[in-house]
Amino acid sequence: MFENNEHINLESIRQHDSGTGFDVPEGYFDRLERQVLSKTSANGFTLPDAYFDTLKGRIESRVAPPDRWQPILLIGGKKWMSLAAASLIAISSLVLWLNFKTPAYVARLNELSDDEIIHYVAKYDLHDEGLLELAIKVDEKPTDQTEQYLLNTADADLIMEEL
Amino acid sequence: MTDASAINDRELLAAFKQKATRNIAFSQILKAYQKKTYWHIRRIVIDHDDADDVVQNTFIKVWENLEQFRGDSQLYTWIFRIATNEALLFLNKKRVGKNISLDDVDYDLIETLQSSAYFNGDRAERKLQTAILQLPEKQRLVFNLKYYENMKYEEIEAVLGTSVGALKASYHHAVKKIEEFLKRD
Repeated sequence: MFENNEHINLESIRQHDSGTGFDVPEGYFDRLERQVLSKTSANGFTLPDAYFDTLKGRIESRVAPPDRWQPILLIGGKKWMSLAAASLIAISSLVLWLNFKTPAYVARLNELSDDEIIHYVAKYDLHDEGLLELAIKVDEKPTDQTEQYLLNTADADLIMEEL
Repeated sequence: MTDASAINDRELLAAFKQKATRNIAFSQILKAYQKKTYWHIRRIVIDHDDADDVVQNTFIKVWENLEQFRGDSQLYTWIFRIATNEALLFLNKKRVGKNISLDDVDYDLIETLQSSAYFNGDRAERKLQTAILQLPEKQRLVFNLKYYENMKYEEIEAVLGTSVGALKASYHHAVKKIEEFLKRD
């Protein structure tokens, strides 16, 4: 009963719907296409196809830490070069690690506002977080004592564990 | 930015500070902000290849410094600030490299726009971009952030480190100059 009534109502509505009741301003769809295109091409600027599909991967490949270490550690025939490079990296890393662990230094780093960090980054054109730390420490005492301590007491196994 | 995105930023920052989830968090940050950051940079340096270099350098610095980010500002304004510094630094290096005087900077960018393979704007769009490129650097930055990014003055303040009052004045001057330039033909 209800379904029949609905059917009848729809039929009567369709009889009054010629499909021409709505209209759009002249040239609307031409302008719409241009407006949509202008949004996608950012006011005239365009991009190579699928640019953003590859950008993320390219940036990630430049910041992934494991890739920085592998080419040096996997040098084949010249073991002494591999060991020398590994030792240099290990000592540098431990110096930075010890600096980072120093309570006074951590406190100083935490005091920096975001503005100050950006200022350091821009001023020194830094590309490495270790350099940022060094730039911040310019007015602090030199690290000669730390280096001497490392030369006297550095344990190769401990260093490798930290890497 | 909405409250929801602010919560996401906090979660992303917390995840970034954990070694185990750092790469995933950075990947999410890239996904969320790479397009907006690219277009902001592109409007400063104009050329696509230059913008590509600068956007990569920007996110590398984000990666290197995000652990020290304390959340005094919103994450995206912090990224935009790095992007702005990187873009301006890039332009300065380019000026020095090409031995261009400061007076000829705008002309060089307009030439870049005209010769770019990745600009297909119609006459009106080209003229608007030319007008924008003739603005002083600060006014150009403020205009782009306000007009194209639809940022609030408080957000622009966080990006450029300029007071809201000065930003309003810069935007006002920029709009006037662009209007006058567009009326000339």
